[in-house]
Amino acid sequence: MPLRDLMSDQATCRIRTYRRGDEEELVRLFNDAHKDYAGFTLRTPEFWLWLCRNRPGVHEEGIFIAETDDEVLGYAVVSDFGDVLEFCYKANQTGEENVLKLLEAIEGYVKNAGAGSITLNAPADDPIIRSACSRLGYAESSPSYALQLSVVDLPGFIREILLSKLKKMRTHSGEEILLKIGQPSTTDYDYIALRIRNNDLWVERKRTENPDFTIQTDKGTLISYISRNSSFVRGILTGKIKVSPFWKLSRALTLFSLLELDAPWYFPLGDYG
Amino acid sequence: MKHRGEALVAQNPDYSLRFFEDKDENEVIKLVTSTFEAVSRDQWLWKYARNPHFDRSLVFVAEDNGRIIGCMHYLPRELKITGSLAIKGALGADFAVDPDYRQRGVGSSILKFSRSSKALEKKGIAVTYGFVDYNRAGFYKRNIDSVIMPLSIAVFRKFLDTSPIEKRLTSLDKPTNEGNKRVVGDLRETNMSVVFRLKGIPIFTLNIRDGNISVDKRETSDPDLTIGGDPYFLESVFVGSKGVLGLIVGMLRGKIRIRGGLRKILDFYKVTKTNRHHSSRED
Repeated sequence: MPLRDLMSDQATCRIRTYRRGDEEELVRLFNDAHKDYAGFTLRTPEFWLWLCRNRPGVHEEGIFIAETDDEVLGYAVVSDFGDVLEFCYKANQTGEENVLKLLEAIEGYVKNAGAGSITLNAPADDPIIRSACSRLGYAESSPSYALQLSVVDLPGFIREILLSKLKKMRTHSGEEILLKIGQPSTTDYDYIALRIRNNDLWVERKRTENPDFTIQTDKGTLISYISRNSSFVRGILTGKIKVSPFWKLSRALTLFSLLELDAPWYFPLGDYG
Repeated sequence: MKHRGEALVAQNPDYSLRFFEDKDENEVIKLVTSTFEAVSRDQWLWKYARNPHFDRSLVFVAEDNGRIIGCMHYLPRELKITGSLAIKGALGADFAVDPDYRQRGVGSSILKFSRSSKALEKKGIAVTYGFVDYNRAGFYKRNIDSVIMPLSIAVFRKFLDTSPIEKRLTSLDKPTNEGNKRVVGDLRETNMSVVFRLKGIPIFTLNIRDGNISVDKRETSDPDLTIGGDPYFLESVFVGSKGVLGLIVGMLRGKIRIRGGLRKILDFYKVTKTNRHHSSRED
């Protein structure tokens, strides 16, 4: 079969609405399509059913699935108000055609529901959705909302991040690091001790007497650094981060680079509220 | 701080802070639905009472003489914070304070109580997060050391008809507030028809005649002005903060295309700008 015909066949996906039991496949597709992103709630079938299917203003007729005989290629959940709560697709050579078909299905549904507009969000670096939306006459803007993050359990937060990077932490094996957290004007500090031994990591809220090095900063600066709102070098230059002994600076930098949340943050409209 | 039954209570000279109890449900719903236009009773019940992950011990209320005057809900969620790591988080939602009690620190007290009660920590929650307006970010930073996460999100919007825009534009000629009264005054001196050819919005014509505004869902054949391009950029110029310089930059960058006389452009700019200044003061 000529390549052109083959691609044409692959592009022929059909659109249908949700059927009970689809959620397992949709959740798998959602989590896989967003595996390189952070900032959203990891889907489980139970969570998805509550978040999407059982949500006020959402009907099974507003959940569109693009599929071939073999697989689900994408889906979209749209509310009667025109908000696209979830939109994801399998990125392959026919991705944009499937995206276009889903968008057309959404438009038909929203028109029938009587909503005046359609709002959809997508990862900013997704060229397929951007191109499809442009072809269908959507205007693009930046989000009008922000996502604020606050750390409740700082040692727990640090432990979780470092545990997920344990392999890279091996360069710190045998080291004991003390984080001294507090405002520069205060004498009342929170101490967090980090200890790495082979494949184990301990992060505890305690003060150790002879750490290999100490990093002194305040919670806001530390979280700003972790969230990539400010840089370690800037922290050092402005005196907001202090490392002692100073010659351990490069070790502190290595540790901080491991703490950085490096994935792009994206959340679908369904997560909002 | 003292314990009342199972509920931890923090006393304040004017009101007390405590955990949500079942008997509070109707009052909390009333407060939330009266604060947020988009939230109905059914939505509250879906979001909380019918949510399989809802935890009543993560709802905090402020009470004055038996009246619920503020509330904050947290919803436990598995939040992805890197490509491979999800941690226990809690989404803050429907944070409301009774209008009679605003500007008195009730909101700050509720937020601080949510931390001092240790309720979130006891549930193993490492972070809280929430969706806020950019101009509210400082409030959260001051009270709970929060940071604004850099987002990688593009928003796409398409209007299927011009009704929402029509409603907004045609309300400008109704002297409902001081801002509009000024607009109505300026409109009396302005006569023009403006065709909008904006991305994501069907073409429409705005007619300003003898102090009245009307919207025609067709393209007028001989308009005074034709404005095209990016609707969000246009909004930031005409009703936002970008100003005349923004208008010029937008035209040079191709974000806005305007065809028509300079005088008419300035007349139109003046009308919409007058409205912006007064709207801000009204807020």
